[in-house]
Amino acid sequence: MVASNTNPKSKRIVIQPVTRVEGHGKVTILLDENNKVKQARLHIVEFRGFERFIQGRPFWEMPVVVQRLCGICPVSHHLCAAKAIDQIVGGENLTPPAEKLRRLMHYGQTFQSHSLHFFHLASPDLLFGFNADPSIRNIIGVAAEYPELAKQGILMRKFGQEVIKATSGKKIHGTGAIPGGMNKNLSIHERDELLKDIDQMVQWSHGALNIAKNYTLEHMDTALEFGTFESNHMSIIREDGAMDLYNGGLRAIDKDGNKIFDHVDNQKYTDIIAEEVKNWSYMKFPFIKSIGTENGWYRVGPLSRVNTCDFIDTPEAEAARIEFKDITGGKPNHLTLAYHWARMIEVLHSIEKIKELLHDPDLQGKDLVTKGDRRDEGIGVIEAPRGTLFHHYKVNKDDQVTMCNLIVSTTSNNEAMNRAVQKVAEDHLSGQPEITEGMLNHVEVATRAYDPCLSCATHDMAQMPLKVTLLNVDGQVIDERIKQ
Amino acid sequence: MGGVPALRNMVPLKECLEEAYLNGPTVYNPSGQIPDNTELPLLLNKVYPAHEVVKIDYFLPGCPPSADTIFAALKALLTDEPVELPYELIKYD
Repeated sequence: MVASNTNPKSKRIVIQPVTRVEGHGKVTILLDENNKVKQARLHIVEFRGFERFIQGRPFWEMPVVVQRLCGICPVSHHLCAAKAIDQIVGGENLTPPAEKLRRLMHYGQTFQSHSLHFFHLASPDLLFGFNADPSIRNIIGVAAEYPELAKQGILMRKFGQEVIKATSGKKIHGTGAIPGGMNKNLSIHERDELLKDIDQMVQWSHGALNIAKNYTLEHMDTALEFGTFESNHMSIIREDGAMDLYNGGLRAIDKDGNKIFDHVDNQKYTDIIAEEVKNWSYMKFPFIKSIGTENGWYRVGPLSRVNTCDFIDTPEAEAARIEFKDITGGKPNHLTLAYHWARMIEVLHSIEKIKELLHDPDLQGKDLVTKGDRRDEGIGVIEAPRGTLFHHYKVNKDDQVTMCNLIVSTTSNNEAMNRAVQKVAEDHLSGQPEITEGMLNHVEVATRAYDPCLSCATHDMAQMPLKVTLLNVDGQVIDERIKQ
Repeated sequence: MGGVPALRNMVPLKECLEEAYLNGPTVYNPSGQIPDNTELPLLLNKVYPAHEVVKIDYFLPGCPPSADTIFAALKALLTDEPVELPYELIKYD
């Protein structure tokens, strides 16, 4: 870091890698001579270059190849690429069976991804406390102390994966969506297998929602300050203002809930969104062009979607949304820790949608593919579990991809995660004589609330121990801790 | 082989970086900088498969390996049997 090298009075703390998130990230914190935080940053330290190396490949490969930039929510990339490629073959007006099958796949995906995050990655912090012994504060500790809850988490995730398998052919990296439609429908047998467990899943989703809600309400004093700040929020939205995870126009609201733009045709996303490059992270910093780089940054994901939508079109999730909005008197909720609550509202919404779709006879339909006039450009936009996702391709007359642009959900939360890290570092580390593992975990808890997928965001992948190094003013190591 | 990330090896690294940070249709980069901070690890000239960098005892093929493949491998290791994967577990799309 430049600052630490040029200023002999500063100390530098590094959290590397950040744990219980997907992918590689590191946090650096610069302290002055009085241990006051001068700067805190989340750096994304991986880069793959998907945009370039898939050029020259046939466009119909995109839904299958690009999803391999992630193992947690590949369905989002599978479907988003498919939506873009639909336009290349002129098949974006899907047949009802094809659209409903894709939606079923997507709700299965959201259900499993949110469950994975809540039970496996976030619950250790919420159940044991941010300062708890790290040897207990993990999924094994949760399984030992709360076996019933751990089992629910595993089985909810499994159910979502079974929905994905039934619609895409495989639990991970399936092939169900093809240009202009789907390559299979849902058999009666597959439907009945899923229906066996559906009521149990609805019940457990209510349980998870209650845990997240009660946690937030019981810790409101913490939540009100913890890594929290006001911001803009963005998502896609259905024509009537309902939350829609699969398709819609773009809506952004400011911190007071006023609309910055609304129902913008998602094909025109380059008119409203740009991404700033900063030299200290491989992840770019998106912003709303009409506001500019300084104040145009925004948040995406479950919290933003619950903030931007006018209502949710399934009854139980809608009741949960109303309760959520009552806390802030109908205004946008800006609490970083409220992401967990919003995420569980979406879990309930997803399972309600899955139940509704499973009872729809269109899923056994045989009219699965459509096409029309070929075009040389396609743009797909979808609400991935972690937020709005953009795939944009151009192709030549030989069907080869000539341009690819991806704005991945986590990228849109880049500025927000950096602010959360800065705020928590100032509130919990600044001026402390000794930096403890618990304090540093606070920084990670704030990042974790956003459920970042750093592999996706830089289009790479892996798993990690945590290493913290404390340097004195001369740059010498005075303390070092490693957690496996 | 390095899997899907190794597709990068067909393209010079410089072109990958320029596409992501200079040429993309949503890039805003008035100073034309490509991330190069000392906090960021230097990128290697090419993507290497894991076994060229560290010793690997067993390979489970698949992107990702199926649950049954992982189960079969763990069971074999725990029971001290040789890892033998039947055809169905190494057959792909």
